Amino acid sequence: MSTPEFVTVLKKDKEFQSYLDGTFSSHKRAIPQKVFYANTENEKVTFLIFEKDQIKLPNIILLLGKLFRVEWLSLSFGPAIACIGYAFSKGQSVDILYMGLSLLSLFCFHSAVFALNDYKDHMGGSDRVNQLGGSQVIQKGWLPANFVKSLGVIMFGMGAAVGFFVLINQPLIFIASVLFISLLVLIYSFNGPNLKAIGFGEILAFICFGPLIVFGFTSVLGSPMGAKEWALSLLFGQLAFLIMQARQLENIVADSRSGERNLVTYLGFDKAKKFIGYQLFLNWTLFAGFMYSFSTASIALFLLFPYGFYCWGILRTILGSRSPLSSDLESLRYRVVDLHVLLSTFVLISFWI
Amino acid sequence: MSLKYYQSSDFPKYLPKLNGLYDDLFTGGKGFRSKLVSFVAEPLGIDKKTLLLLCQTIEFIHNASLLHDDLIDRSALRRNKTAAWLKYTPEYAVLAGDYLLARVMVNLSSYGNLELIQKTAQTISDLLEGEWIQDSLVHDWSVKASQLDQVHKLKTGSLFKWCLVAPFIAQENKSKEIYEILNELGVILGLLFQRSDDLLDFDIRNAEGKAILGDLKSGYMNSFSAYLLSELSRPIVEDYKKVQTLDDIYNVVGKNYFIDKLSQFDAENEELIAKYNHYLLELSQHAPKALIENLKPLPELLYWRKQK
Repeated sequence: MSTPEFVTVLKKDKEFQSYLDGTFSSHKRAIPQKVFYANTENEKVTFLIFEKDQIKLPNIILLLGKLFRVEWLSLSFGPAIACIGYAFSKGQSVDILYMGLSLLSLFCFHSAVFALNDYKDHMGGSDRVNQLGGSQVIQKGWLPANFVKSLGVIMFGMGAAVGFFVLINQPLIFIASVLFISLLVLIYSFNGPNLKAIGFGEILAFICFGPLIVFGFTSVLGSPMGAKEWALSLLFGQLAFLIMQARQLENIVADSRSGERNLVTYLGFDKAKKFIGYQLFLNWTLFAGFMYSFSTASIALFLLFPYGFYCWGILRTILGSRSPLSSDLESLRYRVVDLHVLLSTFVLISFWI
Repeated sequence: MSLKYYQSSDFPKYLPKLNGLYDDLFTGGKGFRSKLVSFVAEPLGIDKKTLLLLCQTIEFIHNASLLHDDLIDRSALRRNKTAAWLKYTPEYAVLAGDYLLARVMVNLSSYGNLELIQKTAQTISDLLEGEWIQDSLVHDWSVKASQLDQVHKLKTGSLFKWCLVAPFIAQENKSKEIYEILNELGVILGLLFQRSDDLLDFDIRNAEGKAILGDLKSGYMNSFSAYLLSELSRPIVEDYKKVQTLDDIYNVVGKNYFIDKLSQFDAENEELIAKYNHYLLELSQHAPKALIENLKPLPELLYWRKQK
């Protein structure tokens, strides 16, 4: 095996950008390893250089699945499909074309957000601090950064094109909400650290993956936002909030030591575990309340048991973990995402029982 | 370099057993960390008195951590002698460790270099955080190598970083550029040292005949164990927990698999060594040639134990 090659480049050097976005060579990749004097005029980055053909690429479906974070699709699709399922169960007539375009637009925006976030973290240096974050598609050298950016832009364009067609036929209040939330997301992107410290990211996650998607799909389906829709918003939004907390708990050591302030680093390891535990219990309670209030068949209440069992499994793992670097906490957020899939599935089933 | 950084006159004679405990502790050690300090300090022209202070500081910190470690792990032996907590009492072992750290602060504050005091205090803090987290990972059989790296960077890495940076601080060299490079070099040396030490537990390049499988039997997954088990199924991990000998390990994971993983582990560490050499080249623009020459062979020495 050839000796690995490293190069350290000053940020102000004209070739720096080409190393970062992958255009410096047609047959090599550069993976950032370490940044020195970050955010100063002397900032420089060490890159590991290797030949493209040394990289073992996964198949294209897997690769795109990783980049577009298909495993997180439930966050966007869960509430959307719940709304659609509810509409069908009411016997409401649903415009299949509109519904399909809305789902396609949602998928495109979901993919665009994650791809562009990966690109932003890579170019901005966040993934040099947390090298195990993101989809790892750029860090592993599978795709150069500029290509990831292009894919993100294409998906965003597709989402916007398809979404515009759907959006212009919606009530003004929905269009205004979308614009307002987009503005909040932009503000968060550019002022992240300060807003993270006050839990702004969690609030955004709650709004975007709860009320906004439910409101959007309810509008597209031509229904008003009733009690059931608001209950769904709360349920899905609260779980999205919990997923963010789980992610923060996984990274508590690295975040605390790098000075990052968020709700979990503020609470500390012991209290954060309890807080997340309460959140899990709250989620189960909200689900129980939803099923009790809105389920037409009492047999649907039996779904509370497997859901509760899964919540209990996560709770036991969290409360039983002795260490902030415990293997129990590794991939904790994915277990909570699985809980989200379970929630989406059970909510859908409850409409049909 | 032969430097006697410990004198019995450094400690009060009126404290019972203290000097006996330190005599046992400081004899027989290799003193690698103080050697590392001198590799950097001598080319910089640091005077002998300051060199002695720096060597003493790092060895006191390191040996304090050994006193506490042995009690935490309930290790019976240290450097082929009965561990202090067993030979004397656990209370004396704790207090003797604390006293070494206190002496460090007394000596450094007398020296008067505030930045050196701050750096040393931060190093001790990092070391203790690493120890704390490491202790919390005992009996965690699924811990990942990347998570253990975080611990090792805090524990071993912080001391090695100090060894490289402290002489420059003592000289009141304020170059942040040099500090950042030295920090990276220290982290890499710390990781290589720790990983090589972890391989000794599997009798790999174990010329000194250290006792093997001690980590495993204590319920601690060291970096190579974590690397070995990373792609194996839960039933195999369960069997691994019960192994008592190397042959048991080969039976559980397969000897070919073991050899393959060792090869991959070595390759990853070769990449670290290449990174070290790259940073050493960067440092050569700022530091004397003799210093670079002293630091050059260290990764091979620490990781391969000159048996490549």
